[in-house]
Amino acid sequence: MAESPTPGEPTPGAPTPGILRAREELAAAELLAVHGLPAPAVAAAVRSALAAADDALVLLGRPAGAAPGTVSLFVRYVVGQRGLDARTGQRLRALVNRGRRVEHVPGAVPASVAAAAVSDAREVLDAVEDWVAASLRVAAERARVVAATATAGNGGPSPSGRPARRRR
Amino acid sequence: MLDPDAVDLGQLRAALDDHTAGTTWWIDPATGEIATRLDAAPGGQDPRAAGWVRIPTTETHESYRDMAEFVAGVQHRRAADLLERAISGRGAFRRFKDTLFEFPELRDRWFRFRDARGHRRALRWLADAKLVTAEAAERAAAAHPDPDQGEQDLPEAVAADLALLFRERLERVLVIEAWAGPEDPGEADLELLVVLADLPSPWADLDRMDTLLWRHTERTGLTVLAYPVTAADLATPSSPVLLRAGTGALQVT
Repeated sequence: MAESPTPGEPTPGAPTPGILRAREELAAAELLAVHGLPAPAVAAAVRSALAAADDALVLLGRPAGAAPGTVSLFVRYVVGQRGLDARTGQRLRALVNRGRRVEHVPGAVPASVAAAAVSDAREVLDAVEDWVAASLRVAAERARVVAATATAGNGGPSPSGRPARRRR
Repeated sequence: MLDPDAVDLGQLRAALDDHTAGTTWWIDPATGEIATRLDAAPGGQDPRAAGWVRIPTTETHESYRDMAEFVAGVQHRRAADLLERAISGRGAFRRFKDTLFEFPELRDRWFRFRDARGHRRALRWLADAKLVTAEAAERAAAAHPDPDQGEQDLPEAVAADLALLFRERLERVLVIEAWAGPEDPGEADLELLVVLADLPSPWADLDRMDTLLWRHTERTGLTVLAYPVTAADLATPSSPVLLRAGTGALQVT
């Protein structure tokens, strides 16, 4: 019989709460863009991508604070150390830059900018969701192997629950 | 055991770095006095017989490592690219020195970096030679940390790249928010206002900057954000950030 997951721990195969929230924000961004509200659409797209990035950082046990913020930590740990495609980091930075520009320099935001923001947010979200799912699968498999080894009486390292570090 | 303060670390560094053929350097373990000796000099007592200890020369690979680690910490992208190229292959030391001449600020920083490394190496050797205790060497070495390469030149490095990208369209680059304040920005995002002579499409210009800003972000692990604006945007600020920029921004170009 399969062991039930610990309450609060992500289940391999199921979207994490962070990814679910990111999907909701993305849906909101799409609706806002379609209904001619490009500035709020960009803001929602940024929230979506940041929610996904935060989810990856939480999985690594490195939640972002005010400084360094989500993008910096995501670039350092998820892209730099854990091997997520650098284009995802680049898209996230560009998206946040667009969102801040909308905030800081008021003015008309073209519909095309909102559409690009939604598209970038979707790319970031999809990439992070795949990465999170793969990381959870690896962690679960590792835990299973370690448990089996321990049962066999051989001992072994305790599972960290974190994805493997990329070697450069 | 000697007190590290009794040894002229500057002279010891010079001795360790001296690769002149036919010259050897010695240290008196009783007083810390350092002296050189020409191997070919006729007569004279062998320093070893008087209890002096021979000072070895630093291995080339250690000097190379200092250089490579310094280059790895340079944030100015063009300088870093040139220096990385300079230290590859034969003649690395000479090319490195030549390249540094183009960047006076970095040259000064290199000298401070090299001095710190040299002092620590000298103290380590004193401890290895059992002339000072390991604890005393460690304590003294703590007074010679690597100078903070930090990200202090990050705004200048980004601004230099923006100048190359926009050429005559670029009027100035202003640092705003956390990096413009009186306190250390730490790991806060670096935010820049890129003031352009004309701005037909800020979004197209934002896209043009994307690769450049990403490179600096990826390289430093600090988020670099830039907002294209015109002087007119600053003259009639329409947001708190633009208003604050009017009084509290730092100009980097």
